[in-house]
Amino acid sequence: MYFKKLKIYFLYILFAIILLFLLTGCYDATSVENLYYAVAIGIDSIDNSDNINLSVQIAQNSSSSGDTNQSTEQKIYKVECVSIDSGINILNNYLSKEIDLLNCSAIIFSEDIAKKGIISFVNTLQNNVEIRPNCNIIISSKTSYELLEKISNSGENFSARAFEYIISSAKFTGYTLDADFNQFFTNMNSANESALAIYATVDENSVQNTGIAIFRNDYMVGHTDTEGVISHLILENKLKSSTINIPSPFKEDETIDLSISFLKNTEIDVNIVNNNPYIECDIYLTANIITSDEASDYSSMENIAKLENNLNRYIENIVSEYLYLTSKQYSCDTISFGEKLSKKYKTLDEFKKVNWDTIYKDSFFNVNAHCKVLSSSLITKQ
Amino acid sequence: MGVQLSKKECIFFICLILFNKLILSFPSLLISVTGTGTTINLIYIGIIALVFISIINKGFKNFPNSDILDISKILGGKTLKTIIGIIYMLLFFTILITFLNDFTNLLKSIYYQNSPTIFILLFFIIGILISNLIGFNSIIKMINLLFPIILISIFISFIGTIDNFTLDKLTPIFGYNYKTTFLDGLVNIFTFSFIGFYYFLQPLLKKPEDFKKINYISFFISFGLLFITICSILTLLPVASTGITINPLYILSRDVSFSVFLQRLDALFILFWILALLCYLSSLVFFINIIFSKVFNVLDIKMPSYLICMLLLACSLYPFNIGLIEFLENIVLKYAIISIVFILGPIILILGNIKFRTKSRKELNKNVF
Repeated sequence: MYFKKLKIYFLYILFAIILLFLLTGCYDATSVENLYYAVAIGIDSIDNSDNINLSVQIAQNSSSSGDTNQSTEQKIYKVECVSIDSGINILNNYLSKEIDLLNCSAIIFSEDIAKKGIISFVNTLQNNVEIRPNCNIIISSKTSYELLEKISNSGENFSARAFEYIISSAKFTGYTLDADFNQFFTNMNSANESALAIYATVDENSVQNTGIAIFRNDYMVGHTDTEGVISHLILENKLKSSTINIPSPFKEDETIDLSISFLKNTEIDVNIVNNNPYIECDIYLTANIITSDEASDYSSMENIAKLENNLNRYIENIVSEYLYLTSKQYSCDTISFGEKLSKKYKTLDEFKKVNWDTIYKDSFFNVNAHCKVLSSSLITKQ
Repeated sequence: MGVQLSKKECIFFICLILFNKLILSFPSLLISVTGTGTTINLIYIGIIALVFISIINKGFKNFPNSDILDISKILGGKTLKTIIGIIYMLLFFTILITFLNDFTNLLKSIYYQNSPTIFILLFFIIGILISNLIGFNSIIKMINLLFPIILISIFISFIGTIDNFTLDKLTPIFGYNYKTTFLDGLVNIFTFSFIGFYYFLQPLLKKPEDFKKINYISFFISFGLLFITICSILTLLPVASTGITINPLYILSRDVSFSVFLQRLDALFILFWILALLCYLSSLVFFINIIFSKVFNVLDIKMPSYLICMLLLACSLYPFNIGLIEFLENIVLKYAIISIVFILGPIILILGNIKFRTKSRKELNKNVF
């Protein structure tokens, strides 16, 4: 009996000792105080050198609590290095805290370095478990350091989400595509797809997403404008909504603003005719009229038909322009038409005989838009 | 042995074996052989695996409450029993050491880059030892608890990435060519290595008459899991990039996000995967214990656990690099599983049954005359 009680006491003591270890916490754990959270990293080439310039934008804890718990202070550190990891090591060496890439929202390459090929950087970053798969790839028209500087000086409250807000505008502008890192990596390593990134134009005072940077393998071959982005989103069925500006059918030299969105998904049919790809795209959109002027009467069926006709021509033009630019000029299958054609073949060996990579630049496109103008919002007639 | 598994426990256990293959590089191994034709190939090898399962079910019909070691004893005496026992022990031990080192490497590269590998290895090996000393029932209870969570995690991975799925990536449906899909792709049958456990399952069942049902149900659930995972990987990643990533399911889980609120769910999944692997490795040691005890007439089946765990630690101290693990998984294990589970096992069952029938006929003739 006595020993049984003693045994229980002994177990209690043992349990208490184990619990004591829990109270000590993790003495060697790394926490917010020990880390610098990189919000974006930029990679630039250096003239006449194999080295790169690595810029790391770091969000620092705000001293005042204010109305938001997001950080508002930031710093950009730039270092010349051989590779991304060696650059981060150099920065870690002279900074008081360790750089952490867990919250990195954007990886920015300058156009110069993107044209020289970036597969080694992309594969290295993919190998880093800290990099989020939804981190965005941005190609800067000037150096990435300049882009980071411009973003910092934009006057907006700066935070780890700064880049996420820029990208999320895609939902209502249609001027940006969601070029996440994982997608970029897989497309870069895919035989049938072209890797795409956000193309940002840096001017004197600001930074704007102005198109898509198009890659063949790992080399950037060119970029499109914002109409190209809208066309791409329409063909990929990823357009949420966008405001476009079409020529007015009622008054010469005037334009009408329309808000477009999908009526139903774009239908694409890819065929090989006389050894050349013949690609048919049927686009179905709805549009709401935004502009209201004194000449407009949107209650008339005739006027709506005219407007629809102009809208169809406009959409067909911008989409055809985009497709011919990417196929003839860049030889890049940005919409993965090759994958759509591969459905018609039973085996990859049969599909390989088509030589898709070679013949894609000789493609013919037949774009048909079937747009419906539905509403003119609050005002129908002046 | 004191182990009596219910139907549900047994099914969960078999499905967990397959899940452990999914979390390692096995989907890559499958896709590397057959490319986009993996979906058709899976159905094809699934049908062949079903034939093997029906052979196993029929083979064990005349031997209730027996495992393959008992049948080997009937067929070729103690010598054959010992040989078969050693072959299966070696197979299970190779799976054990390969999986342990593969997952340790994955865990080290994801979370514990600065920690010595021995710490991670010891975490698993001590866990395996303790769970085996407590008993197989504790492992099975853990599996019961864990399996529904794992199913949910796969389901979340599937739902969370569904927006990025491109069905066009599944084409051309017959892969590289018919030869790779149907002839070279036959080696993909090694994925159903859990069939190897069916040979030892019958004596562990509460109701041995459920053996047939357990085999079929566990096969169909495991096949469903495998099919969903392979389809998800194929529709998300191009065939070329599945070959260059170490673990496609991990890449898939990294991509899971529900808006900006819920991201990086892989951190949570890894926790469940660690527990799942611990359960699987403990089960492997338990099966080695059973074979060891039967072959060498050891009374206490828990005792060999010390020996196996020490051996495991000793072997794991050898630095297993990616090349060696890939060689073990892609060459050694693949062909060892095919020859032991899909060739040797059914041959013993068929010959055992022929001997049983001849013996029964002789006894019947003796009784008649």
